[in-house]
Amino acid sequence: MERKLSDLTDEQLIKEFQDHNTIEAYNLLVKRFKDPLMNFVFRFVGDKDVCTDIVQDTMIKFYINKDSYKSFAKFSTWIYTIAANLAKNELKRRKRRVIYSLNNDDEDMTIQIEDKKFLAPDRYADAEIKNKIIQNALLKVKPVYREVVILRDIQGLSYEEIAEITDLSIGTVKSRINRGRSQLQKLLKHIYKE
Amino acid sequence: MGQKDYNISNEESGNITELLGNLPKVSTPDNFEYKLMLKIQNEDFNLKTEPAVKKNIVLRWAPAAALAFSAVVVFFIYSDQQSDLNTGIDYLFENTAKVTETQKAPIQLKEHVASENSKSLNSEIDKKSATVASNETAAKSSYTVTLQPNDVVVKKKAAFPFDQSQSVDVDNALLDGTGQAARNSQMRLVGHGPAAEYFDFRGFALPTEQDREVLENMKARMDSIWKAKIENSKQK
Repeated sequence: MERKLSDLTDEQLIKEFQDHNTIEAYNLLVKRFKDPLMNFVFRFVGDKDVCTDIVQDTMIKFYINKDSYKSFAKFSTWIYTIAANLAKNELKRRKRRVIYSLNNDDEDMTIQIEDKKFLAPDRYADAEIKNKIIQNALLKVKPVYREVVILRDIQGLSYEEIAEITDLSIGTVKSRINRGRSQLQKLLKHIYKE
Repeated sequence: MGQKDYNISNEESGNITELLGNLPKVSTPDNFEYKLMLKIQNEDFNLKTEPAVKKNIVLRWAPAAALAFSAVVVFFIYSDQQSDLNTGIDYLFENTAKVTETQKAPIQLKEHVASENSKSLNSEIDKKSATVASNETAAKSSYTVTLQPNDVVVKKKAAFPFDQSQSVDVDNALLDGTGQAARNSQMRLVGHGPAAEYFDFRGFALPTEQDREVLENMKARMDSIWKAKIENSKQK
């Protein structure tokens, strides 16, 4: 039964879950999308603990409102839309309160070196620092540009999928991606010099 | 001219895409699915990330609601003040009962003369009849005696004594050159007291009292001129 279910597409699995309330189908979909959603939300919001809550809420909403999904749309588009809306709500909530994060101090960075990494420690440390700088720069980009840049350049979605998730035209999506990249390019000038 | 240039070269765009694509993938914690299934089994569907849309709506309309509320309060306060003002205006004048009483018996109430010895309304009315013919006392100010609804007699100085029976139709008086119509009719120029009966209309110029000495001098001159004239005629 599991193997048969694992061979199904996302749309077939959601239909199975809708029609027969098959919890295994639901679990499979959770496994398939939890990490991509986590990556997307983390790059958009920046806080790992909050991201876990957002992705959990996304799956719960998916479970409660499974019948609101219509089969003419892609399932990935639908679940990304739920996650994006919850992430935007979190950003709006943050605007009203100031959060002082203990982990947000660039001067006090802890660098973990994994043994399985066949990189010299100094080179690995550089990579970690570089990733953090890129992430911080990404968080400085306007949210409307940041969203589409992450979906396109990190998640690898097509323009049509991004247009469906964000409810924008393809032209607007391309324009915003271009502007987001331009802002990032200005913020990350010093990295190119290295 | 001050516009931001969002066009970046393909090379720069490729660099950004490469940088972003090389970022490490973030994954969920190990107990993510366990916690999720636990929530579903317990039917704990309280979302931690609830949208605060309702509050925004309240906050968004709070200034407009406050303005509308203050306008309503000001309107009601102003309307209350207006009603107070109207009742205050009423108090400035005597009540209708007093006014009609004054108008109905103008002679009785208006022409009586204030007297220090008058103690009752009846005695004042009696004195009124005795002093109608007196020109001296008529020059004094007049008072109105009113009977208030609570049976209290109030004597007040008449602020605007106006006797319609002693008024005159100015248009007719001017058109009638002799002034006979005004003299024969009941109408008189506005005045008070018995002197008003003998008052002839001589235009709207205000009569001023002349100094006695000036009058005597003028009379003396006129007499001397008259005498000189007579002497001249005799000589001729």
